[in-house]
Amino acid sequence: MSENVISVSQFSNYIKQIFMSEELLHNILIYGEISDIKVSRNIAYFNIKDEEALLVCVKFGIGDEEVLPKEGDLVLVRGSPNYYIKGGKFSFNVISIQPYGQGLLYQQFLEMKNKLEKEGLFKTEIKKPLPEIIKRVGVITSETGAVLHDIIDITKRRNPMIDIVVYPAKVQGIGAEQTIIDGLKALDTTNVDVIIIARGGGSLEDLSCFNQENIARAIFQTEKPVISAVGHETDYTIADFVSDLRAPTPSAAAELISIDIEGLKRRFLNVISKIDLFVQNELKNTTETLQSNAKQMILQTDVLTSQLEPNLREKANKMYTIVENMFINKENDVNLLISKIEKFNPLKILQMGYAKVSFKNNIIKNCDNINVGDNIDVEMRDAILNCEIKGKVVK
Amino acid sequence: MTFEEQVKRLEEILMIMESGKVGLEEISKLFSEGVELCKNCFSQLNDAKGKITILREELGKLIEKPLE
Repeated sequence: MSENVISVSQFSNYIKQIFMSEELLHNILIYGEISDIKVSRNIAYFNIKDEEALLVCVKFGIGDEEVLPKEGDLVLVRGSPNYYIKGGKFSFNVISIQPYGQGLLYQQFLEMKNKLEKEGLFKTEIKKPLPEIIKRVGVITSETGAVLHDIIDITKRRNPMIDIVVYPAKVQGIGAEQTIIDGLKALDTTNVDVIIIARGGGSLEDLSCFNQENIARAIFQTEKPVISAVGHETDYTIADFVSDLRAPTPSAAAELISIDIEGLKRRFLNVISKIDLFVQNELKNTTETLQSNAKQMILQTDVLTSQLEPNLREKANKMYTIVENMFINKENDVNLLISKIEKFNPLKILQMGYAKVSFKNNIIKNCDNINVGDNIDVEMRDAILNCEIKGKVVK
Repeated sequence: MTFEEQVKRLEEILMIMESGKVGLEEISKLFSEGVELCKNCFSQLNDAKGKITILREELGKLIEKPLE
């Protein structure tokens, strides 16, 4: 029996040699989930694992400011295997480490966000305000699916007068970005007041087209205000940051652009009832003034006629009756006005009830500059009467 | 004018009337304007329905059609 006997060093070196000589194992990319990560003297020790296996990793030369992944992160590591002879341990020497899968997307998202933020694309002071009145809204979203129905339903319920122009777009997968960009350009040339970009919730991967640079730049260049309504309330995309307004959900976007018509109706009814009340009061006051004028006039006429000779008294009585009838008629006119205004047809009544009195083309508001002999114009609904002033009694 | 714009104008009219700075003649003018606005508002409330359309590019041209 002549079996080979070797030392521990020889065996260990042999093992190490096998790892070193196998080129396929060098500079290799491996993905897995981080566990047990710790740093000591600029060396990071951690494991990456999946459901069935675990790989011990070491990364040398960790800088003081280097941000390392944390427990549970999915990472992609590049490196080579190593057998540490003195400790009798196998490990994977990591050269670089980066987020993988969702982690990678998130990393890309952060990088894009930083880049565009530095360029000033997210500045609040350049964001366009929504127009105060929105009559027509452009919606870029999938033609099929609940999002479009939600937006239409909510908008129409709140304000049925709004026009909705839908630009059908792909909102995930290959080609999605281009259809959204085309939609922005197309709607920007139409007469919509605002553009909504909408899609429902999804994973970071599903929403990834809204994190692309070309979409961000297209939103930035759109002249009309853009509202982004992508995903759920907790989902943030680059499109949200660059848009003029972020709606937490598509339904919320519909609420933002449609003022509540019921509230507006209440405002409308409130204001017309106040105007009606005001004008009725004005007419009532006018009637009262006429009545009191008439009474005074009649009283004065009574005093005057009692002092006259009988034959003159008769003539005066006739005058008195005419004057009295005039005032009664006037009062009837005003009462008629009031009854008509109550039937809510006030325009014609006002036109009929009042005359515009002007002197030398100026409307007379008081009689300071009007004297006996002046010619005034009394404008009624159907004619203008040129009248001469026969007398003037200052009140 | 949209419904909202007209309601705003009506509120303005009320404010001017109630300010006491205008005479009967001006009130009459404002009231006439208000009545016209009311008529418009009523007719808008009754028959104005916004359209829902779909915008597509067909042969290089944007075509807007009613949404099916």
